[in-house]
Amino acid sequence: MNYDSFCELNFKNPKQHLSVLETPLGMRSFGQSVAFCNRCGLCLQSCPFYLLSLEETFSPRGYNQAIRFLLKKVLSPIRSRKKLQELSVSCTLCGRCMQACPGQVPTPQHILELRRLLDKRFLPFTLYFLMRLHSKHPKIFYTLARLGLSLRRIGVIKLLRFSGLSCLIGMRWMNQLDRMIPRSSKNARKQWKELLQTKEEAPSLIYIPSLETELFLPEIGINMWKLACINHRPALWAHTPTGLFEYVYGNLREARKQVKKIIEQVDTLDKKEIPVLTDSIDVYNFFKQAASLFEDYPQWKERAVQFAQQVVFATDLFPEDLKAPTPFTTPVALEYGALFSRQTKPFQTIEQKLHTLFAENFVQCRDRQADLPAFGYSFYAKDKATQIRALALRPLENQHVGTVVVLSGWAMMEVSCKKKKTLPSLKVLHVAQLNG
Amino acid sequence: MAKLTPRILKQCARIIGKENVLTDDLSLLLYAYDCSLSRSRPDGIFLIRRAEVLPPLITLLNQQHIPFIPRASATNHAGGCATLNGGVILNLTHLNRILEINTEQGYAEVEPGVVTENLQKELEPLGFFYAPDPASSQICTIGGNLAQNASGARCLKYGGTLDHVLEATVVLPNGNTLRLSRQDAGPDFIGLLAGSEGTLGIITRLKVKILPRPEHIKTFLVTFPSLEASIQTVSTLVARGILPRCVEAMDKTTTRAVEDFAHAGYPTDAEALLILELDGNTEQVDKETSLLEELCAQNGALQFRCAKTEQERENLWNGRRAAYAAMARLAPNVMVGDGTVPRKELPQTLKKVREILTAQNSVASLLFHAGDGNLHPQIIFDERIKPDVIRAKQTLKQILQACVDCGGTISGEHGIGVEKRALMAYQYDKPTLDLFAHIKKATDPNSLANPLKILPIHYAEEARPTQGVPPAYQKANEKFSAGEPFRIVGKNSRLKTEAKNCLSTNLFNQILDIDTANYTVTVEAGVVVKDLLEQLAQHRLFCALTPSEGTIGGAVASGCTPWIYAHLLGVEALLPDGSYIRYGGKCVKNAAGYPLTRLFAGSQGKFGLITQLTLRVFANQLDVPTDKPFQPLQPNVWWNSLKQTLDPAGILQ
Repeated sequence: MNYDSFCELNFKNPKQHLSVLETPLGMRSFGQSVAFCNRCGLCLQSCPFYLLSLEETFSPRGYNQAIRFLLKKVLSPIRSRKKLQELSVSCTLCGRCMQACPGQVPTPQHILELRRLLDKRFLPFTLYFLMRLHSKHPKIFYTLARLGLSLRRIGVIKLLRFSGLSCLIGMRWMNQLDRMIPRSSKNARKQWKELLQTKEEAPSLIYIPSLETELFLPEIGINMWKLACINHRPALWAHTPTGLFEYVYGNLREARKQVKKIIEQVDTLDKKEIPVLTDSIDVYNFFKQAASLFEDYPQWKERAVQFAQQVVFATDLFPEDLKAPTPFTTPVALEYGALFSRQTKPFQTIEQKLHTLFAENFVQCRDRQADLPAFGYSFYAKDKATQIRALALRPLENQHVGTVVVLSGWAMMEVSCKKKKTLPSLKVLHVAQLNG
Repeated sequence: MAKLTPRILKQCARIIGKENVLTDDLSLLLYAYDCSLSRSRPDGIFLIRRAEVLPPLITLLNQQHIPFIPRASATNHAGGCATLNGGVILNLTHLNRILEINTEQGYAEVEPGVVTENLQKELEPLGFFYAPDPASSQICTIGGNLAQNASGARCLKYGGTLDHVLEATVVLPNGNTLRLSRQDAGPDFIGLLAGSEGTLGIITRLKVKILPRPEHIKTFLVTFPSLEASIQTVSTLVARGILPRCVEAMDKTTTRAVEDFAHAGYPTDAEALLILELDGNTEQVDKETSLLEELCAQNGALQFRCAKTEQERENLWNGRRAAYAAMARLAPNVMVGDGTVPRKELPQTLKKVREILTAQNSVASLLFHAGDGNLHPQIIFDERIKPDVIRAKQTLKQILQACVDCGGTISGEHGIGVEKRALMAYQYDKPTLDLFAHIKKATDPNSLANPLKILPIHYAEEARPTQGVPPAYQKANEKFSAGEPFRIVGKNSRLKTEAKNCLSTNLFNQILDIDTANYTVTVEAGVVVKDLLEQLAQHRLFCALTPSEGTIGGAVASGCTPWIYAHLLGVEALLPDGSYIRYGGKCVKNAAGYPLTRLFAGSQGKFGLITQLTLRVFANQLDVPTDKPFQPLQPNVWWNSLKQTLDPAGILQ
């Protein structure tokens, strides 16, 4: 029997999501990977969202069955669109279920494909519009984004909130985003602006900052740059689409285009094997899987495999004699929330580094800890996202953690947002900031 | 059965809240399955967030003739949660509060949705534990465990879930609430509830027994040149009075699959492997360890390894736990059976099982709770390939039939549900299946609580041939046919009745079988307890009874020795309508159908005449409390309806 017909969620637009997945047990077609969920339910108690909702609909087993019904055409994606959106966003993509699953079924990856099928529509309309704009017309997006940030700085958002206008339908997400986005220092903004203007003629490394770094977290960018400067002559490629939104959650047809653009840009350099640095673990993991994007494009596949090898993360640039920036008296923990897999190399490297840097002061809060929600969640299910964040921070609170190390700008924003109320003393550091 | 109309839905929503009623396509599909292959779409899903809403909700559903299916984690392998004829799913996972833990009196009061491992985690720091340990304890719920009568690796020593429930609150199919307690005089209705799979009512609260954690636990890995040798070792162990905390066995295929995947350090060259665990105080464990080593050596053990560190112990158990995972990686689906046979029949059964697997060309791993004779064949298949599914089903069916042929049962702990209900007719004859149907009819006249489960639909034609009333009990049968009211007595030592019209069990006083290999004894009800104990003593066996002049039938039926209920494995009885039922046998556990041993235990001869009993016996003297004084029955709703159904003419007084 040919199962290939059960591999596509959307026949009209089959290339919108991946049809071949890289699972812990080898390459499998999408349908085959979903079929390996035998409904034993061993994943239930590992899922932070199931523990909150206690509903089958929002459990890893439920997610897999829903996708199976979609593949079998038992469930209509049009009639059940709203519920499917809720379901796809409810998954925090933390990967705990995969660890608990006897067959290591990559449920987060399945949900990610579902999100790709739904194509960012889980976001509030205005935000969705902005994201589309970002991938289609980046220049207009950056102009608008800067305008928005400037308005925020002069207090327009506050004014909107106090006037009650931000509570209007379509504007509510603004409050949530405002709470999440940190206020960067003037000095950092200035430094970042200067960096953006630097030009390197013969770079030995390309640094592509993530969207969140470029717009909201210049501190991460500056530190990343400093880290890159230790052994390389880096070049900063700003305004390159490098958000979760293009690659991870978006329509893969667009993602392919963007990756191709980057590869083509890299190819214009003299040294084609130049390392490409990113500051987000999610984007790093995505780039590492770039080859899977071009399964049906043999002419690109080889280059994509090569590109995946070129991609590096902050952990690859750490100097041998890395020293902690300030003496830490309180315990330090690592935040493991990342898309695709939490067992990737950067986690192992950073764990080792943290062990050397902080010795016994480094605590691992893995067990029964809920991870941070993935992007989009906070806007879709605000109340539940708050609870999940609280769950994620509880182990940190219990172990009196003073500093938490994160591997992406998004995780930094999520933790910073929650800690304001529950753990004001908690310090959030991006991995790049560990280097002085 | 009626359909769920929008009007009824509205009424239900008024009781449980609008947000707790789900009727969208996706939710209906996602609540249509459990761990088995059964799948059927419910009409609605009700999320039960407070137990208090259940009585009015069930009353309404009963009035409107809407079937309802309780469901918690839905981890059962038998299709117990499938809505076969429409109806609504009552999702009980939100009832997950641990209400009280009382270490002084040794109990915990919980709601049915409490996950078994969560209770264990709460008890651990207090130095206590909850004995039943199903393999899925990290996800299954305590309510579900009782409904399926789940047990686990520790069953041999500590018994299944039904022996650990002290009190239960049940919402009956008519909406009334019934509180059951072990202290109540009369039949062991909590026992009847065990394995009922939600067909008798919805469990809303449970009081379970908790035990102090043993001082010392030692885990061993022993390998053998043959599976038979490993089983023989277990039998010898029990014969020498050692009751291990767990005895798990694996065959070579399973060991290899597990080792490839989990790297637990199992030797892959041995034909069979045992994981044994001893618990108790240090002195006792040390003594048993040396005896265990000696016995294993006598039976040709190749390797005897004791886990020296907690990590090593954990590794051994990780391997055992990984057995399922090892198979789950090989194919999309794993079908798990739970046929159980008397322990001494295990080698014979295993031979048959292997033959079946070869004949069917099925790939399966074999692991079993060797102490209980509970086999867990794990057959891998792909549910997308129809012939594969048919073959897997056929293989499992033949394996379960082989278990029944070897004197066992089709289910030891997973229950019957939909998937195995056809096989009930292979195991039981028509009168016994009729009795199951009567119990269901008496407690749920409209057949709304989880309908169409457990009992095969056309069992009358397919049931095992009825052997009729044995000649020895014909006289008793004639008395039933006469239609005059009478009382059943043994030696009249407990009941002390002065009624004239009595039927004495004195005439049936044969000890039919003392099985020294399997540690069971089968006796007629009229055997005097003292005589039985004397006979057993000659074989160096002991039973959980104190010597008395009364009969064994009386001891069981009077309710004066309730601790013996846990050791009752089988019963044969003559019912007022002249039918003769046979239930159970030499199996340590049986989850096929309602536990009839518990129905007759403590029934004071009001439901029928117990003719034969099979009991578990032991190699060591047990601490047995003194008999309780005879207490007259306290009829409850179930008692009244069961009495009305089983003895409508009131012959048994």
